[in-house]
Amino acid sequence: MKLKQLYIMLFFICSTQVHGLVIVVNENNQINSLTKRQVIDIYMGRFNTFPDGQKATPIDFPAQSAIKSQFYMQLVQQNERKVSTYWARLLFSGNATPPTTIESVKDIINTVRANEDMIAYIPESEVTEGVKVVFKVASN
Amino acid sequence: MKYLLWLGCTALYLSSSLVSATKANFSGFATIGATYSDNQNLELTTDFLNKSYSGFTFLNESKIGFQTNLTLADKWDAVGQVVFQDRNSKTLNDFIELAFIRYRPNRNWSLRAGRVNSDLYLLSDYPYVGYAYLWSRPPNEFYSIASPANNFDGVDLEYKNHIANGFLRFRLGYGQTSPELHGVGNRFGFTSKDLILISASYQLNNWLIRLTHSQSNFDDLRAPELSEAQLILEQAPDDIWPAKVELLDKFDISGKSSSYDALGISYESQSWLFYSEGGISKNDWLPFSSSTSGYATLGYIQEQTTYFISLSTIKNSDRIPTYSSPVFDANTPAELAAYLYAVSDAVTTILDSITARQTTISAGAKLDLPSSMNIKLQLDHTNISPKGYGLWNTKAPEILTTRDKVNTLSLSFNVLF
Repeated sequence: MKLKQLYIMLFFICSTQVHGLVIVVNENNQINSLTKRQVIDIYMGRFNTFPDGQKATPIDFPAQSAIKSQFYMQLVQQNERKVSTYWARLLFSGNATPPTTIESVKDIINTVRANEDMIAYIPESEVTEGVKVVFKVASN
Repeated sequence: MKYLLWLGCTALYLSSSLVSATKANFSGFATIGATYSDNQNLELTTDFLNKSYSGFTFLNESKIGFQTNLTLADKWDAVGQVVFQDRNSKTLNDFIELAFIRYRPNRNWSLRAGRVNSDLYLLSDYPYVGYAYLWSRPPNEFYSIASPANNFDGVDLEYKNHIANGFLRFRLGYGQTSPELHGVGNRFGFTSKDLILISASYQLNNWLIRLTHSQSNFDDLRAPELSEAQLILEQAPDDIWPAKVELLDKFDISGKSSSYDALGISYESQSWLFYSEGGISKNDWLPFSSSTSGYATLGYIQEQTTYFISLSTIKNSDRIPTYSSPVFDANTPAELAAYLYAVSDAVTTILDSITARQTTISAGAKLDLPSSMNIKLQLDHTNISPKGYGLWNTKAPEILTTRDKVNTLSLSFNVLF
């Protein structure tokens, strides 16, 4: 009975995970790679620029989406509620504004392709021309 | 320094007029909070800038805030925030929490001018955003006396960078603030000028530590009743009331200064939360007596609910002097004697009420809901020492010399929008 419950739990865990998230930027961006800490700096509002000083505008998936939950859990080991509280503190202290929210992977990729300052996380399988991968989230 | 607030407001107005050329984000927060305190003689003060109430009320904790973030240019932005709550004074100026323009020459440095938050305490950057902290309200013993310094009009410089494996933020600010507070049944105001604030916070994994120092000079007392009492005292013959010279000096705001030092530590993991802050204030203006205060809170997260217990305390660190009453002889005019009696009574009441000596034990729970909402329930039990009622407003001065206790129940709904 316990083994069956474990299989069911594993099924649900696997079905809500989006395999292989990567960080992408516009292909003309001067940045070719980022470290995990540099991604955290941008996505957690510590800095609003890439390490070379160029403006960085992060893009997020909507609240309560599986891909957003996975991204923040893998990046900073925090669930979405904690990330939401964290951003409320930063926003209303006037320190930073949260990432721009865009609904679909397709729209995110089009936005990154059209803007050199954009940075986004997407499933590795969705990477297309016009964007370049600067960090693999799950591998670090 | 007032012009710096107008600089911030003007920048916000001009940029909102040119909103098509800038990027604007609008957001807000709200708390609907009901409180019940069971001591009818004592009115709860969650914030020295707000009115106080006893019994059941929605006015102690309910508030709504609106914020706009404007990106003006590559290295320039502006932030405006108004928070509507039950202030003692209700001019537009009393509701503006933030109104600053910011220049970021590079990723490590930023300079702000206008009305900026003080960064003195762990929560002083967002004390009114109920969604963002654990309690129904920040611990009274520590935060109610801090409210006059939540923000100031001036400039501040920030440096931030990675140091070792952690992240350092350092701020240096200069300006002034002019709070309107409640006294013993009356409002009074003053200005903290030449305000210097220094803060350093360091985050390492789940830990955050913050050290702060501030100092300022008191000026511009706005207290008609106190000014009238001072005038009467000045007219009193020395032989009738020998203590008047010292009293006049203690109540005179000119040349008096204030300093504050604080240390805060927080720890946040997936299951446990711990927050603690301690501060020492030193003031040589008698109505703002020196004190030592602090709190410690432990929280445990179980799925959507966080349970917490908290202990907070404040103790006056000055010995409040006692003064002899005026002694009249047969030649004292009856009218002057009556005035001096009234002033003497008022002085006694003030001296009995300006010190805070109390301890509060709290327990509560926060339930997180989807879509940036939460509900909090909290019960506080406060023990107040004789002549330790400084954090409360009372209309029954006779109780000030006795020990008392208060239970306060709070239920609040918090949301971001």
